Amino acid sequence: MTERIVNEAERRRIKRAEDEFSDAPRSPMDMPAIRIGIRLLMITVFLITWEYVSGRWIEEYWVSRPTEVWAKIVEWWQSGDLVLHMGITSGEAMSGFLIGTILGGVVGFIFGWYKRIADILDPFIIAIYSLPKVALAPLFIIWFGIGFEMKVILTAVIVFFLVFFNTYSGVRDTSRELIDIVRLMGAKTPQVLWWVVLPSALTAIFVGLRISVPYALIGAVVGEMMASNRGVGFLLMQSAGQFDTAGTFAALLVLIVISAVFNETIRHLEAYLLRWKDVQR
Amino acid sequence: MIDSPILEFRDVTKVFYKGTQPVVALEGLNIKIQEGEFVSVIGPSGCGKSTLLNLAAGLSPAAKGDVIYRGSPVDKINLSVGYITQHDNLLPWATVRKNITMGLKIRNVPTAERKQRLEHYLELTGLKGFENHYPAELSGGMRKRCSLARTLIYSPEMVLMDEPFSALDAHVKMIMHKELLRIWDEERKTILFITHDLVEAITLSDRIIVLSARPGQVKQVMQVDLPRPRDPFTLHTKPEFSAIFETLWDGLKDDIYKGENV
Repeated sequence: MTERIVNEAERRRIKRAEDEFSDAPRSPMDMPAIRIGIRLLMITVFLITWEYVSGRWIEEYWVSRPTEVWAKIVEWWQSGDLVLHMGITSGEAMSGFLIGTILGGVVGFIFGWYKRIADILDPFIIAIYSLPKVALAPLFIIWFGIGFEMKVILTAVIVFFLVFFNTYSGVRDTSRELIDIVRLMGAKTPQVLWWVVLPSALTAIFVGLRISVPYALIGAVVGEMMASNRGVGFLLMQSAGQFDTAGTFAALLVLIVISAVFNETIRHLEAYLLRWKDVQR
Repeated sequence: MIDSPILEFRDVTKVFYKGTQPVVALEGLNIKIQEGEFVSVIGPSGCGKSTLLNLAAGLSPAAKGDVIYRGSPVDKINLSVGYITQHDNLLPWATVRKNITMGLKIRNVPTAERKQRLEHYLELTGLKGFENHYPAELSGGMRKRCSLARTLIYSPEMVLMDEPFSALDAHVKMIMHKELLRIWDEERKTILFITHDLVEAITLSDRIIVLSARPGQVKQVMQVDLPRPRDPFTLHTKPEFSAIFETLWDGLKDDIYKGENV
């Protein structure tokens, strides 16, 4: 179902692109297949260069080499470490993301709707927002220990603010006229919120969600790096601590993969929920 | 005619505040609108024309005087009126179908009847075949038809229109006049229409009320006795039309320069 609608949005986008006037006929360079081909080529060249340079021009100790990094990943996979640590980091990031999103969304919604509350609490929120959230980690370690919960809470706090601010401004930006018109149709406040304010704010909320993805990982990984014996952050610290460059690169690669999966998930959700936007862009 | 207007402004004064600074938008306004009448209000920019509609809709309270709808004062949101604004104010995330049937859904009209009425209004406004389009995919004229359909479909007794066609280009505007007159002929709803376009006001209305520059007061009331049905494409070439135009313009021109946007 979701897939079908995403495809529908894609189809409309392509159709519209074809309808638009352009100064030159469409170049084959713009075709998706060619684009992907070029990207793959770039990666290949990069990897070959890396492999070649390593041990010849730059000492392998500093940059390791792709085959070594890959070997490390295979090793982690076979020992079960990869699944374990990836699972823990993803679990922390996802739980924190969900909790932060829900709380940030709800509080942002309330503040956006009742402007007076927001006006009064504004300086406090800005004060807490201005604090680098990772600086809260030591406190959270005291409060919640060095386990799973600490990272979830750290992540949730980071995500909360990003989602909160975007939801807040999204709700505030809802057209007053639109609300009045729907009220005149007989809508009660809950209906106005569900049918007008929420969909209207959703664009801004998704901006918050998209920004939040990398930050959710920051929360989880920084938490792990500070105090943990599990997770990709731990893997990273452990490898670096042993001067294992291949392991360090391998851990970074794992993080890129987790981040990419998160991003794609959000992107698909957005394409589905905001499919109406696609027709006007 | 027995004097029982559907909407009456009785000595209405409306004051806005810029911080604590009062600005009088309307002063001592007396207007009566009869059921089934098409009344236009014209006046210079900033004379409080739109305020009039917000008062009638119960969206904002009068400082003095009473706004009376069917004999009782409007003191909360007036659910008997529909509102059409300059911006079409469709829900951009909802298809034409969902936009049009929204009022029925809010009023808990059963699905079968919803469907039946949707068909009727799609037909009436010429939107058939566009049910599944999003507003962004429609032309300006079609969006206007859509907002017309979604207002008429839940049968408000009275329709408030705030410069609904002012954003359209000249030709589309005339087409919309024709459509509106045709639809109005079928339904004979009471319409209170705000505009700054004299031609538009004369083409559509039974009666035209001219407001003065701020604070808005009734300056002139003019009955438009041109026979119906009217043809918006040729009406303005008739001598009767020109006579009305000139009288109205005489009343309006001094104040135009006192308006804000000159």
